[in-house]
Amino acid sequence: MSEFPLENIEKEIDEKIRVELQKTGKDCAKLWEKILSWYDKGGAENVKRHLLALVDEILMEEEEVREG
Amino acid sequence: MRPFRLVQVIVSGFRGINRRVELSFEKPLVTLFGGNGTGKTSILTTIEFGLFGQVGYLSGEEFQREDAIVNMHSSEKQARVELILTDGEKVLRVVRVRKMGRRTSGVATELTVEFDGQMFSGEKAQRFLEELLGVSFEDYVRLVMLHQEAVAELVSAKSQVRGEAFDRLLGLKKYTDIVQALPKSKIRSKIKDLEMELNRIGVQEETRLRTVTEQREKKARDLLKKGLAFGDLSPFSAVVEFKQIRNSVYKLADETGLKASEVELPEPNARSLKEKLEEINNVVRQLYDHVNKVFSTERITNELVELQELQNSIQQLKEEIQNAKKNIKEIEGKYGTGGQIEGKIGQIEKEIEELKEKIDENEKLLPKVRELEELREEIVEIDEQILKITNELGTKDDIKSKIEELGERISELENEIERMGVLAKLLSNAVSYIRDTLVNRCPVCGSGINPHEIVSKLEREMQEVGVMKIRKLQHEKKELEAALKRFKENLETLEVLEKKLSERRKREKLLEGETKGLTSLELESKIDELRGKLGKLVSQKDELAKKLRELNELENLIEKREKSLEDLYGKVRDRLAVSADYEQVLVAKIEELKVKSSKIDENRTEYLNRIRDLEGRLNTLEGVIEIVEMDEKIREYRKLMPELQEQKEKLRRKKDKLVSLLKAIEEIEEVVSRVKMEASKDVLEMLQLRINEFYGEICGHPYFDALKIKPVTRRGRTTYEFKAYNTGEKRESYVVTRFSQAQMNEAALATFLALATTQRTNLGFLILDDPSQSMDEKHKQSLAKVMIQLVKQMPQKTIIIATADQQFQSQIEKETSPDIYQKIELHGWSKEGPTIKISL
Repeated sequence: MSEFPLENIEKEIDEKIRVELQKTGKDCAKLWEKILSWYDKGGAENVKRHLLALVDEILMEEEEVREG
Repeated sequence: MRPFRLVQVIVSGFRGINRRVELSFEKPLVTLFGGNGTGKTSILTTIEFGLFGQVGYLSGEEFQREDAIVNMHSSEKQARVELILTDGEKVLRVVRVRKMGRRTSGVATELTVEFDGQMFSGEKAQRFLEELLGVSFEDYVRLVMLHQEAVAELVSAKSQVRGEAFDRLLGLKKYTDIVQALPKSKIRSKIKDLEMELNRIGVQEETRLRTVTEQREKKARDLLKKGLAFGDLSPFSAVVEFKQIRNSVYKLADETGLKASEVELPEPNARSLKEKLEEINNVVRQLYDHVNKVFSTERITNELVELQELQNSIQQLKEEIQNAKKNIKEIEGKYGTGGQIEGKIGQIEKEIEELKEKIDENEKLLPKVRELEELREEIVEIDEQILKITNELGTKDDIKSKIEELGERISELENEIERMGVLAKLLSNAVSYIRDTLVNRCPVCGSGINPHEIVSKLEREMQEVGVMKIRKLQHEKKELEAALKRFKENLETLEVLEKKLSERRKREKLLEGETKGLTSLELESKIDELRGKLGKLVSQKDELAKKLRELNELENLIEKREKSLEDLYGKVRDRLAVSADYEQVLVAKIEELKVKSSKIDENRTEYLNRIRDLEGRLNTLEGVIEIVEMDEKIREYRKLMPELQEQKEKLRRKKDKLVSLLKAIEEIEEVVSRVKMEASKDVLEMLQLRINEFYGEICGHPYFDALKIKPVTRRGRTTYEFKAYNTGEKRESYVVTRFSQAQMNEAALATFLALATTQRTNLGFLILDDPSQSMDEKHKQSLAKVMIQLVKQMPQKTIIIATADQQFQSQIEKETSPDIYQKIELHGWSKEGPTIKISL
C-alpha cells in the first residue's frame, strides 16, 4: 500500500499561499508570515488577538503623535 | 526510518483505571473486547494522553468543573502513563504524570522522554517527541485514532459540523481556523467609525461658519431696518450706546427716588457687553418694580370703592323706602286704610255666616222633598197593582163570595167521591161472593140466575164506577182547589196593598206639610245660588286680607330700611368726620379721590413709558451685542479652520491604514480559501479510489457503488458534499438523505481508513474505537475481513480495535490466526479499574 509523507501537504499549501500572496504585494506576504507565526505559537485565538492589537495600534498611533 | 510500534502501556490513576495496569501489544492485530463501561476507551485514550498530554472530545463546560483525567479513587492523586514504543532497533520510552486538578484541561503535566540514550523533559521533550513521530495532536486524532464522535461528525446533516470534520480529517483545519480568526467585521466597523467622524468634522467645518455668517447677516438686516447705521454694529458703538442708556436709567432713578446700584462701563467685547447688559437690565427691572410700587393707586382705589359702595347702598335704601310708600298709597287708594279693610272683612264674614245657615237649612229639607217624590211614585204603583187584581177577579167582596162558593162545591165533590167508593166496595164484595158460591138463584129475589153473567156484569159496573166516575170527580175537585188557592192568594195580596197604600198616604200628607210644595229641582237650584254668593264673599274676604298683609309688610320694610339708612349715615359720619349733609359730603369726597387717582396714574404712565423706551433701546443693544458675538465667532472659526483640517488629515491616514490592513486580510482570506479548496480537491481526488475500495468492501451497497466527496463554498464557508454515486447510471444522492445509520458509519469509516492508510506518519499503529456500531452480521464480517487484509498490507503497523460487539469479535477470531492476532479481554470494572485477561 503506497503512502505519502504527511508533512508534505501542509508545506505545499503554505508554499502555494506564500507564492500567491507575493504576487499581490509585499504587505500581504509579510502579514501572512506573521499570521503563520502567531498561529504556530498560539493557534487561531492568538492570530485574532494580534490582529486586533494591530488595529488598536493604528488607531492609537496618531494620538500618540499628537500627545508627543 | 521505520515507524514506531506500540509495545507496552503501563498506566495507573488515569480515567477509569486506578491500580497499575500493564498491557503488551505483541501482535499486528489486537482487539480490546469487553462490555460497555469496562474501560476499553480509557485504555485507548492513555495513548494520546501519553503522547500529547491531551484527550480529544473531553470538552465542554462540565469538564471545566471537575478533573476527568485523574481517577477519582487514586490514592496518589495522580495519573501516570508510560508508553514503550520501538522502531525495531531503538526503544522510545514516554512517561507522563499529571496531578489531580480542579478541571480537565489547562492542568500542567510532567513529561519525560528517553530515546537512544538521551533523556528529555518538559516542553523540550514534547517538541522532540512530535518531531520524532512526525505527528501533532491534531494529526493523531485524524489519522491514527478514529473516535466514535469523529464518525458522527463526518456524516452530520449540519454542513458546518461536517465541513470542520472533513477539514480536520484532511489536515486543513489550520486554514479554516485562520480564516475564521481574521477580524474583518471589526476592522470594517472601525473604518465606518472613522468615516463618520471625518464626515462630522467636515460638516462642522463647513456648516458652522456658514450658519453663523447667515445668522449675522439676518440679524444685521433686522437692526438696519430699525434705523441703525452699519457703524452702530461695532463693539465700540455698543459701549457708547450702553453709556447713554445707563445715564438715562440713573436720571430716571433719581427722579423716582430709587437708589440704583452702580454699573460699570463694559469692555468692547461680547462677553463684557453681555455681562454689563444683564446688570443694567436688572437695574431697569428694579426701576419698573419701584415705579409700580411708589405710584400705585391701589390704596386710593380701595377707599374710592369703599365710599362708592356706601353711596350706592344709601341710594338703594332710599329708593326702596320710596317704592314702599308708593305701594302703600296705591293699596289705600283702592281698598282703604288698614282699619277700613279690617271693617270690610268683618262685614263680609257676617254675611258668610248667614249664607251658610241658609244653605244648611235647604240642605236639610232636600232629603224630605226627595222622599215625598219617591212616596208619590210608590202610591201610583200600588194603585195600579190593586186595579189589576180587581179588574181580573172583581172587588174584594166578589172574591170572598167566590171563595165561599168554591168551598162548598169542593165539599159536595168529596161526598160524591166517598159515595162512589162505597158502591164500588159493595160491587166488589158481590162479585167475590158469587164467584166463591156460584149461586144460581138471586139471594134477594130468588129467581134463577147465571152467576157468571152476573159476575161479568158486576165487574163492568165496578169498572165504570170505580175507574171512570171517581177519577172524573177527583179531577174536578183538583181544579176547584187550584182556583180556590188563586182567589185566596189574590185576596191576601189585595189586603196587603190596601194596607201599604194607607200608610203611604198618611206619610204623604205629613211631608206635604213640611216641604211647602217645593220640588227637589227647585231646592237644588236655590242651594247652588247660595253657594255661588258664598264663594264670591270668601274671595273678597281673601283679597282684602292679602292687601292688609301687604300693607303691614310694607310698613315693616320702611321701618327696617330707615334704620339701615341711619346706620349708613353713622358710617359716613365716622368715616368722614361730619355731622350733617352726609350725602353731599360723601359725593364731594368721592370726586376728590377720583382726581387724586387720575394724577398718580398719569405720573406712573409717564415713568413706565420712559422705562419701556429704555427697554426698547436695551433690546436693540442686545441685538448689536449678538452681532458683536457672532463677529467674534466668525473670527474664531476662521482661526480654527487649519486645526480641523489637520485633524481630518490624521483621521484619513488612520482610515487608509485600516483599509490597507482590511484589503491585505481580504486578499489573504481569498488566497487561503482558494488554495485550501484546491488542496482539498487534490487530496480527495487522490483518495477517491481508495475510499471507494474500502466502501465497496465494507458496505457493498446494492445500488450506490461509489462515494463522491467534493468541497464547496456555501455562504462564504467551505463545506463538503458527501454523496453516494451509481457509476453505471451516473446518479447520485446525499449520504445523509438516503443512507441508514449503519451505512453512513460505513461510508465515514471508509473515508477514515483511506486517509489513515495513505498519509504516512512515524507512528506504527492505527486505533479504531467501536468501528462496527449499528452494522448487521454480514457487514461485520466484511469489516473483519478488511481489518485482516490491512494487517497483511501494512506489516509495519499494529491495528488496535476496541469493541463490545460479540459478533464482530467472533468474526475477527474466525478470520484470523494466533500468529497475527491478540485478544485483550475486559471482564468487568471495579473502583480499582478493569479486570483484564490477555489471550494469545
